[in-house]
Amino acid sequence: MRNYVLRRLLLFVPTLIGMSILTFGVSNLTPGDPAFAFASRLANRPATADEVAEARKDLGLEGGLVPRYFRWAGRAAQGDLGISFSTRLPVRPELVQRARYTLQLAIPAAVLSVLIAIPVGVISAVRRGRFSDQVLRIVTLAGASVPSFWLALMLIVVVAVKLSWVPSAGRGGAVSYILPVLTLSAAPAAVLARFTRSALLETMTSDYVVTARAKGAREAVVVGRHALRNALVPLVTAIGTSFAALIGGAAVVETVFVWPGVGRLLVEAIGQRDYPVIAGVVLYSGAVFAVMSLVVDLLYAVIDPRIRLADEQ
Amino acid sequence: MTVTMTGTRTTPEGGEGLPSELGRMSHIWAVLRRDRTAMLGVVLVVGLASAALLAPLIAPHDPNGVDVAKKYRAPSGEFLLGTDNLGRDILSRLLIGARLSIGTAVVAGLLIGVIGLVMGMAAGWFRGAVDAVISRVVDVLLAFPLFLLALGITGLIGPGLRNLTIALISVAWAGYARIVRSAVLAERGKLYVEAARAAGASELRILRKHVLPNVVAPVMVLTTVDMGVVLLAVSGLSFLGLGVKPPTPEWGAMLAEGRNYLDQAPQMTVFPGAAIFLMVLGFNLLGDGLRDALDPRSSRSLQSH
Amino acid sequence: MSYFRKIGVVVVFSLLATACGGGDGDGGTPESGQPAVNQELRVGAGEDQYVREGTSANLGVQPVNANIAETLTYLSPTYEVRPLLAERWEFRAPNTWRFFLRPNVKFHDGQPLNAQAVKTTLFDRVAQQRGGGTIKAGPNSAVVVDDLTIDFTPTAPNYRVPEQVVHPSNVVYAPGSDAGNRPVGTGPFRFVEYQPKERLVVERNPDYWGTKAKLSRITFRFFPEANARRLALEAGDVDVAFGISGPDVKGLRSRGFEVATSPVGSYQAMYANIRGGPPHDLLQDPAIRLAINLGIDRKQLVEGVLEGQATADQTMIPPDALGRYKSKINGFPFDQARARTTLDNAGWRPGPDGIREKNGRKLTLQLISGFGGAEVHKPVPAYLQSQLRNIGIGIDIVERPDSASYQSLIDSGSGDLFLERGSQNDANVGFLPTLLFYTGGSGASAQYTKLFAPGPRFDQILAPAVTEPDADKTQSIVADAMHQLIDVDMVVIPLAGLFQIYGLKKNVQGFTPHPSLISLRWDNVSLGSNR
Repeated sequence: MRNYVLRRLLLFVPTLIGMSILTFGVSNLTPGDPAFAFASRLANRPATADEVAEARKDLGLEGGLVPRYFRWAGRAAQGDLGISFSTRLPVRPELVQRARYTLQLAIPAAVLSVLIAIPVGVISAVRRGRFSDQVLRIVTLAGASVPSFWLALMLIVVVAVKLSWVPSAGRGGAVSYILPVLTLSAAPAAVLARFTRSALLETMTSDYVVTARAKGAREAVVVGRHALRNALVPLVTAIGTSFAALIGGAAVVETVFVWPGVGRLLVEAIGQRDYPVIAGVVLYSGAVFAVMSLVVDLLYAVIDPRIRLADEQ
Repeated sequence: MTVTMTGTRTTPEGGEGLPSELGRMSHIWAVLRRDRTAMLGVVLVVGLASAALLAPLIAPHDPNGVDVAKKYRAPSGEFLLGTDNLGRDILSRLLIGARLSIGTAVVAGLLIGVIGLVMGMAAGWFRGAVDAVISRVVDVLLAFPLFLLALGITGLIGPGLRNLTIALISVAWAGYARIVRSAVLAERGKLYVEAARAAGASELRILRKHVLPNVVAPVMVLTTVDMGVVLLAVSGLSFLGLGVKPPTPEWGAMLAEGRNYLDQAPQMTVFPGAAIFLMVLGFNLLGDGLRDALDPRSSRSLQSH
Repeated sequence: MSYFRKIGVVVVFSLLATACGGGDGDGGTPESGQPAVNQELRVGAGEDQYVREGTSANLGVQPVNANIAETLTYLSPTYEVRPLLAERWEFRAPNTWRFFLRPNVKFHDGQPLNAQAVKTTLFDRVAQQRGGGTIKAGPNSAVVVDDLTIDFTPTAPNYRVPEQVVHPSNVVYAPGSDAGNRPVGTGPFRFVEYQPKERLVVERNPDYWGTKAKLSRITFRFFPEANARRLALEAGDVDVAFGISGPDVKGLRSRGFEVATSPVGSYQAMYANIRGGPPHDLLQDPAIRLAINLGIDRKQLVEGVLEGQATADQTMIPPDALGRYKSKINGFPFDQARARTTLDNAGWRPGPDGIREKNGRKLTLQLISGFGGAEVHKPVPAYLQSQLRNIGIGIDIVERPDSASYQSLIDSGSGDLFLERGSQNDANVGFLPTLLFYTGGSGASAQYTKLFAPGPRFDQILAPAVTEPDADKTQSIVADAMHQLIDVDMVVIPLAGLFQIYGLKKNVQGFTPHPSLISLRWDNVSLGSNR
């Protein structure tokens, strides 16, 4: 078991290196001079040559691309993600805080989506082919098809502005979480519901379930204890993936609700050519994804001993 | 999201070729026709696609016809979906924009599927160094949320619909490749492959005649569904300002602009969003229907007894 | 059943996680049912752009000015220079400015305001910036004459110092204070708390030297998007919102909000690339530039597209800043017929698609949108495109989302028309023309003059402004230069004069809208009853 974990972690390292190179390359080869962007934003007019030179010095942009990469990579390996160009503050504390804010949306949204998805999926699978199933299938499909930014805007206009039940934007008291969480959970709920349905359908027609039924077990027991339990394996993967996506920060939803999360941080950083922040965010989401998939794989191995054994051969 | 590898078909001799593909297609169609929700999807996709194709003919007004005096009009006889902040007809803009949105989604979806298929087959079949390289690249690409990487690449190569599409394609093929690879790995070990090899068939022929048909099915489903994903991603990125340049009526860009006029002209937000929604829904319904048609365990599928 | 137990654990865990992180105290919970006497104002400001380190650290000062620290002179909403921390000043030849400081002024930490403090925290600080800032401060420029008198000698001839020190980059801090984290100044409000990208809180300074503030506390919340700010105002989350966009004004008013507009302080204009190489060499022909000027209906642009929230001024520099000389600039009427004839006479004939052609070449120009980001200019490019199509000029719009990518196009000269927005944030009227179009001196931006410099006649007219001590005469010289730039050389094609639009709840009183956001003052603001 320990070997398994260690091996997985080791495999993760080259991936991380590849990601860092990709990130650094992408963000540094963008056209335009970040020193000019920074100085001009500061002055609110095109910056003078002096101001640009000063900004370049302050932001540490002197030197070639390759030495800059190694400097950055070396520091990043020790946990120092550098200084943001736009705020001149260290990247990591801000990233951590914004990630926390994103998590405050992602976790409730993930939980909500699972709470909705599983019952819906179960009902849909159990009543397969009947009217309720058809309706649920269309509803979940609709949920998976709605553009999140559109849903967000509609919700804001109706609930926040017309009815004034909740604030329209920004992170504030508990009430301000409602709309963003609802918006974020819609698509994953729909997708997971569909997934639950199909996973459950598969297990329900498998041999041991048929056997259990033949042995006279009650339907609820059959579904709950046997079918669902075995559908859990792919289900966990799906939940893990959707959670990883949520943690990555839904840039669009965070933009519409002006939520100070990681997704919006990335959009802002790209707009401001803030290389260190871009690199930091990308590294963060890659790390999150890798950890998530490791956790999922571990859960897999715990839930289903066959997988663990097979992999260790 | 995992896709169950079903619908495999063993062809011991492997000499069936094109006519059987066509026969299979008409089978699929027959099954689909009985599925109401899938038909709804077909209607949506075909309907919207035809509207897109015929757009220049059926658009009632010039989509770029600025007439400030006529701005903010609600839906009426003259402007079926109303006008926007510069007095342009929203319906005409939606129609012309449909060509962009749907065209991009279809082309990008197909390219993603094809590239993913090729890469996945290469990795799964030839293994060794080829597999190692491709798999590493796939891992790195999959570690990034799709949106994020597309965002970054668009920042690099510049905004614009073409660049955005390139960015999306260059990232999204990874998901397919991984699935195809596992499918190929599964097929590889099967008896009929051994048999074909023993019979002297070349590697390429085995790939083409035996492995490919069994792998195409889930890819086909995924591709259809993913066209919806591409559409959402493209309109999302346009919404964030990285897509088309004005005055191109791409649906996501129209939504972004409409956001500033929620009060005066809600039609600028409601209709483009509805259009995106309907199109994605269509793709999803169709993809769902295809999945059911190809799944042997579903009561509707080809292989049902 | 184990299924339910697992779900239960997850629910409990997530509730705990949310509780630990979320609901961080008071971040903006709307107050309700408070007595009318509560003088706590909430402001919806733009993006948080505070710099926290280095010689340009400006927390609480710029661009959102919380009136914590003050400058020697103050810019009035009509662009006059008024005394603030300096009671008066005089110019001593050949190049020294003597400031007489106001007596009995204390910093928030009790230290007195004196010449030594001004030297250390203003002039010496600015001297450390490369080039010495706009005032051109050097390490030995500031000399303490006595406790309340200080001499400042810039490193190069600079006749505009009083007009320049109105700018908040030239505030005076308390000696030893931390400008990036805990700013201490002389202003009517003092620093309380700051959450990066979320809010800045200040409270009344009871020992202020001038009229004490009526508000007890101001909370500035940061909303990078205009939409979000407006929505916050409508939903009651803030009392004042900055930067309301033109189209939203009518809706706000109909919902019972006040909308206060300032005098003109900014402009929107296109710069014509008159020095480009092919394919961007079309605008070297003055006939085309004239046709463009005549072919834009600026009145419809202002009233229809910008919803009346702009003026049809064609001056680029705010008219108030030019004073009585603003009429030297004429601008152009909207005359499509004359525009078409001008192009006809220049040999450009309409092609089959309506776009003019000459010698097989199409009259299509690339419009780059723009400085400040493409978002702030929408939907003007699309409007311009349709206007110019009516006279047979094709416009290809290229958008750039931020300054850096826009700048790369200026660097490479890849464009014909460049759409920009700019504001006048101090009283130095000659600054922008000198920075962007003047080739007679050293302070200009090489990238801009490479494309847009009008040439020797313009330089000749503007040159005396650099060495003219009298502010009034300077205004006249600059007005002449702008006449040359806009009316004769037609390098700048002004579109509209812009002003600041502030949204207010009805009970906000005493608010004076300032055209330059960074010079906004809160001393007289108070909250009436009826929230």
